[in-house]
Amino acid sequence: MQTMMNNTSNNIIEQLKNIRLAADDKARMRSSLEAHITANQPVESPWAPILSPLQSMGRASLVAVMVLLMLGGVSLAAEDALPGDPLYGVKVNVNEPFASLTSLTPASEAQNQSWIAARRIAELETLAARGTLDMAVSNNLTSEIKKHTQSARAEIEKVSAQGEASSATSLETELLSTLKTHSDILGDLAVSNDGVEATTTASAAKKLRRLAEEKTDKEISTAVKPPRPQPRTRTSSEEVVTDISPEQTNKLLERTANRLKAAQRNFDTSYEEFKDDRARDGVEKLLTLSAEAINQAVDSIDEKDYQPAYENLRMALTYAHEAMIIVDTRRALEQTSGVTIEDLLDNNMIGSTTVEVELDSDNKEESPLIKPNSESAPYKLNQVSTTTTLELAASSTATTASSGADLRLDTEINIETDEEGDNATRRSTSSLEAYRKINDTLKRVEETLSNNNSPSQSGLLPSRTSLEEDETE
Amino acid sequence: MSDHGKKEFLAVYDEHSDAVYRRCLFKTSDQETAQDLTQEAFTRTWDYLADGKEINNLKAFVFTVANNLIKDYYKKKRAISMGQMSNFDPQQIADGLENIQAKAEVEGVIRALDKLKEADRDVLTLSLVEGFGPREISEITEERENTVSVRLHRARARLRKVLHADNDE
Repeated sequence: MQTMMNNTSNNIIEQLKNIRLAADDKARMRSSLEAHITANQPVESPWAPILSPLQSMGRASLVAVMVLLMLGGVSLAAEDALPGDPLYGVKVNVNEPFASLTSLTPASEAQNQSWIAARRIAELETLAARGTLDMAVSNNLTSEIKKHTQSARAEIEKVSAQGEASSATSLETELLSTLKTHSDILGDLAVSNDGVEATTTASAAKKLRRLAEEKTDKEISTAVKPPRPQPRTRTSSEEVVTDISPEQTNKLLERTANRLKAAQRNFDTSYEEFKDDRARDGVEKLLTLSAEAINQAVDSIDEKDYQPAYENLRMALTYAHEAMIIVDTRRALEQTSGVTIEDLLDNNMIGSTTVEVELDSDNKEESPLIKPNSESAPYKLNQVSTTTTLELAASSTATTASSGADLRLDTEINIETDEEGDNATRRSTSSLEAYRKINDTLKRVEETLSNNNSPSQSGLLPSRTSLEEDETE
Repeated sequence: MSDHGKKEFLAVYDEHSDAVYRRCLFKTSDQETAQDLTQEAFTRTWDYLADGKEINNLKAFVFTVANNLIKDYYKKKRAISMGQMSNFDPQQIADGLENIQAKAEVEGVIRALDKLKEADRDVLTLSLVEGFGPREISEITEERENTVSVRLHRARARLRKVLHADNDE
């Protein structure tokens, strides 16, 4: 301690600078940081040249430009634009901000932000399905998705703070379900790609999954926001559930029933387009599960037991929303990238024993692709998520050359049998049963709501809520 | 546009990673955890930059991120009694000091620090070892600048006392 005595305390404490990372640890950490940097490059937006003149114009002139463009139909034409397309800037910087201008409440802004995030996701999927998704564009899109997801969650928090528990819950549930389902879909698309595109797509899928699992952006915000992160309240669903009123439960019931109704209708209109019946069975199963969860919820409501009712409704909403996404995405991918499930099946080289077993077993009534077991398992939020990939790619990802052939055979047989009947009889007995079950459930909900004097009674199950519109467009 | 900013950021890592590691080590007393947290702090800082956001004081920012990660770490761990957000264990830290030449001296300082309160230890290390001013420290520890200044002043006095006592022994 000789040195200590001679030095001032300042000098003494400077000795601590000798504590360092061991050289090899430092090098190891450096190289993994380097890998992270390479994989997460800031990218100059491919639409920057289009964007910048618009940005400098200010909002008023932006609206003027938009009106002009609308008149010319450009705005509409831009709707299908993808990153790299000349009109993409119009889509992102004119059409979408305009939607924001008209969002006056936190709930509508949350919807709007979720909607924008979903549009970026759709772009990711289209590019991935075409096999043209490169890392720069993917990073750009995922960071946009992240941005809008976080904005949506911030708005949902406001909704929650306003005491609109059911509204906050449904917004968060749908957002979560959107992220998870699309993450699964992208995962499947990744397998159908190869080389760099596969890695890029898989990494995008992973980012969406992570975003879903963040649930709140709390961790990120406390870890990253300088200088002083504001104390955040826990968002949405978790917190909302602590105080469940009959009124909020009824509202959620109405929303969930509407969502199921919309999903059912979407499914019906595209029923014939499903050439792969496993995909179709998968969606049907989700709709049935949703109806079952709603039924259980109504049981609980009858017993004035609102907590489990609320939980079941959230579950039902997740299933219905997921079904909706699968139907929509299937259709969208076919339109925008020309990718059909059959194409993916034919071209695919990756094998999956699950599918082969299923094909061989001849037992299509119990689609083994959906694992949540409606009879035994209690409903749980993430139950679906791990298995949902189902179907879109259903099997996009899942056939060996030989099983691909089996499947074609299988499909043909189905088509033959299908063509024997008219529209109504084309459905299998189990499918018709499912259809009836869902309709019965919806009727029951209507009765329950009118008995309970729901505040929104006058607008009982309107055919389209604003929420649906955003989704189905 | 490949590797945009990579070289610059790695230079920041080279320069400041030891300091961030020390901070994490003093708060967790566990080498591996400190390494993980350090790495994560740099990774997240990069992500922040890659998102197109700006950072004025990069070193202070990484420290802020690290500090928040440390808090999150304890929140998740829950092994330590409620409210405790730090584990300063001089023995454990000293045990990891194998490669340091001036080991005896460093150990002495660590033991002296152990006799101080955590808040004092924080301001002293951030200021005397890492060279931050009161304003930067206030950003990192999320306290008022005034509070930090006052604490720094008193902590120095206490440290002197502790060192004197050590020398008298």
